[in-house]
Amino acid sequence: MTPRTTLRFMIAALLAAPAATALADAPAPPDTSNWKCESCPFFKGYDADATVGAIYPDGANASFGQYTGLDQSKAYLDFGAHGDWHDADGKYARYDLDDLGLDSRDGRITIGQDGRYAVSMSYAGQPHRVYDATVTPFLTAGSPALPSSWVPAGSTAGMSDLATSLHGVDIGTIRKTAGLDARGILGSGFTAFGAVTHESKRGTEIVGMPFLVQTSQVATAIDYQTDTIEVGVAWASRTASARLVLSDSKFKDAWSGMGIQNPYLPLVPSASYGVRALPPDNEARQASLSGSTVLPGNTSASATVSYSQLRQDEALLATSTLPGSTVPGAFDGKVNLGHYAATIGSRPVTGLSLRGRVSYDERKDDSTPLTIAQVVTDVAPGATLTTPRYNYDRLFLDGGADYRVLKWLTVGIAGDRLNVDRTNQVAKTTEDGRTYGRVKLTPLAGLSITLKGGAAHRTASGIDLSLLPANENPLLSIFHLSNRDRDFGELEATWAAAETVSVALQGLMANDDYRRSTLGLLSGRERRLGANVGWTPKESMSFYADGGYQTRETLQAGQYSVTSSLWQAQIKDRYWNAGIGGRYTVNRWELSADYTHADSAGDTGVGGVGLLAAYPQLRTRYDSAGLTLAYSVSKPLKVRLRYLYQNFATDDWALDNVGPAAVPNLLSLGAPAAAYNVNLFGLSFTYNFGKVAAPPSAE
Amino acid sequence: MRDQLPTQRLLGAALAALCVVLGALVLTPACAEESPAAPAPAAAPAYTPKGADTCLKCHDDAALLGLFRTAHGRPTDARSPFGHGQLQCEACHGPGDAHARGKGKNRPPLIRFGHKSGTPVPTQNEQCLACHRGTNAHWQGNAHAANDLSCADCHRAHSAEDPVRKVATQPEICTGCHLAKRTDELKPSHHPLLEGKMACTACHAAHGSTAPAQLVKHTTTELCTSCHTEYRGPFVWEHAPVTEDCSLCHQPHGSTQPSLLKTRPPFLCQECHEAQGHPSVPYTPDGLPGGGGPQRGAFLAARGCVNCHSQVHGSNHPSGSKLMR
Repeated sequence: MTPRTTLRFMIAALLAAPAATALADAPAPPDTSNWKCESCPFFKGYDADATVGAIYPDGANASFGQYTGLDQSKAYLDFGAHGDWHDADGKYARYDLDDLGLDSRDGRITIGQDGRYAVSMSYAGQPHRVYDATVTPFLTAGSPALPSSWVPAGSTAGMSDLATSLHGVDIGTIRKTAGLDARGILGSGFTAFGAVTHESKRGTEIVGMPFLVQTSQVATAIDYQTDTIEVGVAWASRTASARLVLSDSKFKDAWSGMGIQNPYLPLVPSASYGVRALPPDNEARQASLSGSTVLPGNTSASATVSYSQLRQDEALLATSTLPGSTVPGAFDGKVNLGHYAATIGSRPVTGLSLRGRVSYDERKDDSTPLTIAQVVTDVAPGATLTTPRYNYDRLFLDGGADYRVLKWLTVGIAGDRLNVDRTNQVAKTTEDGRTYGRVKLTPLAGLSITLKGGAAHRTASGIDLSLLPANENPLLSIFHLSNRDRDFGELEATWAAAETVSVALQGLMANDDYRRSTLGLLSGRERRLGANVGWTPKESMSFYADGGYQTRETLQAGQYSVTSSLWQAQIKDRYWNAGIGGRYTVNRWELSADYTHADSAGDTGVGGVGLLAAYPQLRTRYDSAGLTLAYSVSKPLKVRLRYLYQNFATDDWALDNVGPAAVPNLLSLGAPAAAYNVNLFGLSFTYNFGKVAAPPSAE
Repeated sequence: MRDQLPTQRLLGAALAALCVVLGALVLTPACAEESPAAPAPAAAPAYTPKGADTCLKCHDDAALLGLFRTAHGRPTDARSPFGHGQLQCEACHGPGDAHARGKGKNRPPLIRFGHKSGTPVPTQNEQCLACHRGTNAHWQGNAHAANDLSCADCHRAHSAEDPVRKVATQPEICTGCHLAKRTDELKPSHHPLLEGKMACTACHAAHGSTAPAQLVKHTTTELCTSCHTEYRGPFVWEHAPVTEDCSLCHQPHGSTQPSLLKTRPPFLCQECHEAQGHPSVPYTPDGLPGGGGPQRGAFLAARGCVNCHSQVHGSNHPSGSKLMR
């Protein structure tokens, strides 16, 4: 019996177990006939508020408004509203509408009846502003063409019309998600639910459009839509649960390809135009069944079985724009995915905790393999290749035990194992094993110190060098398909120093050694440290301070040809942050303030072994200081003043001084490194117009 | 690898589901509507004579009464602790007669919630799970349970609005323990958690799942492509690591590199690609524009390798084997 079959049987047994184990008799309830709850202030009536005001950032910057939409120097409407209505029969309506004056507006409106049903409508906008200072000579984003006066050249420096043709183009998208979901309580522990969502993503993205050895960055228009429907039924008792969910998601792209004029002198006479494929329409279906049950001996188990299928059969483009090119047949893309998993957790005796998990994932690509005589970037004939399909089987086992030896000492041991079998990749199998121990000390009330350490090893086998791409160096070790040794340690300490003070400290170190690799990633080191302190002297007052420091270092090697000497690249990224803030409420005043500083540095050195030449340092610096002051003018009316200062600066060798003509064979968009210095002011008024039934007075 | 057709497997799953559901229907008594929310063994302490009316004589401060704005405080919902015939405060805090009758320090404690409460964490959590089993199917054995977290470490049952259930305020709760993630969310490339537009639970099942890292989907790739549906494929030309695990190249919690990448191209790409020709060139800094060395700016400036190989997530172009079209 294969591991997969064994796992399937085990999961089937677990999924059937809820029915068998949920028979336990519930104890007789007490007599509650006199429990009138006359002093309970049940909510009846309505409670609502509306906020109206303005927000003004004094600088226009895409990075500052990345996810909020506050990217222009202008006044934005600050408008939001919340409401809640409940009647004596349990019928209710609720709405939460936030940031209505911004592209990041979101809202949810729900109606329902307690214990019977609920129906919600929702909307969320998510702007993703990227660049607002990029320039391009291409006229349109949909199917970019050059001005009629354009003079092609062999390099960007020779494009005589470039400087006069440049015009600004913003890079960014907005994702809009609208949803309708419903839930009905069917009784006997059953709930039925369903949801429909429509999501659109529109805007412009940067794509690269090469013509063999010359390339351009192009702002391409995107217009994606995803429609998803999900239905399901769930059942739960005191000791067991089950859930069945079916879903179908369809992705549609408004276009299948994008044609772009070649701004360079064509390397072959006909290559003045190229076409790039855009994401194909696709569909994902899934059926998922999960369940859990309580077993004897303070034990719980759960299991999941899921099948998914990905499909796409978009009509193919021609192999190139050169005369005589044809469409090489049709593609019937079909991938089947399976997920089988079970978990168990147990506390069989006092102080002992056991846990285990097994999961099996499989990916089977049943797409039609195509053999295609390719044309490289619409310019030159390339190899005739058959599309490789990638399958895998992934078995994961995870388990651990913790035992409280003494009142102040808990020790634990755990381990996991991951076996992956792949097709069409250079290593057929990788086996990852990890073992670690854990000690938790609680020497004082409120103080907890946890130390964790262990080692992991990965072994790759079934190496087949014939699966390496053409001209690939046979010494290369692809990092996730290579032998690796890892040792790691973690420290976690929490201390409730007093009733009002809490301190937390966490640290992690991990060292990776790809000791059998000659080329590719050779080693990696990671360090993380984080701390925070909280002080809440009284309910109306709280303060915090936090900080973090992280480093990530890698060393990799390369070789220009099998006879040349090795070169190395060493990369060190460091990041640190610190912040402080607090809140204070006194009488009618509420004050909150915070300050955060974050800083990163990235050092890159490349060259012969021991002779690394240093790149300019990558730097980012971020400062944010915020102050909010609110005053309750009267019981229903509150006025709020907000001030935010943010400064962000970047040094980036990949972007600094890289204008459209800076690189001979790269017509770039001249994207600037992110930098801004913005003061944001806000003034808003919140009015509460609630009318809540007066609570009964306690006896 | 499997040998059955997908439709057969889907049918199998549906039949299995039907068996479980029918079996459960036939064999199992209803849960919440017919059973009290807390067990009462024969020798168990007695309940108060008047339920919440007894408790509220003392426990009447506004912070506690926020519960009556939540689903727990609904008299019209049979599943609520305050639903008809339910045990009100004692549904969660246990039988309270002795506590109500006691005096001063000799008053016997009830079940209380939170790490400073004195009630063992498993006891606290069982009180919650007794009703919330359905949404916590994978709680036992998950990382939070293994680290002895109580439900009240994250949830505030008596607050009118539980901060951990709001998108804007949830990350602050999570990063209170996951300190490194606070640092990650501040990095220049990040998902919109810092801006209050995405919650940790968009990706992670805090109550447990059968997926790695307690993901809400079964695999990392399935999770990422549930929002980034344009990368779902299958493509005519696939990039093998994309089909397996997005986190081979990306750091989803935040990165100092663009697009949440672990390392910047070309060095990221050269960890797996060393073919003779430009992939195996040592890209030293003198190749930058104005660097004085051999002109290699197209491999380094702007997006590095992605300036040409922009279809790194897969290409649907017939000539897309190099992920350039």
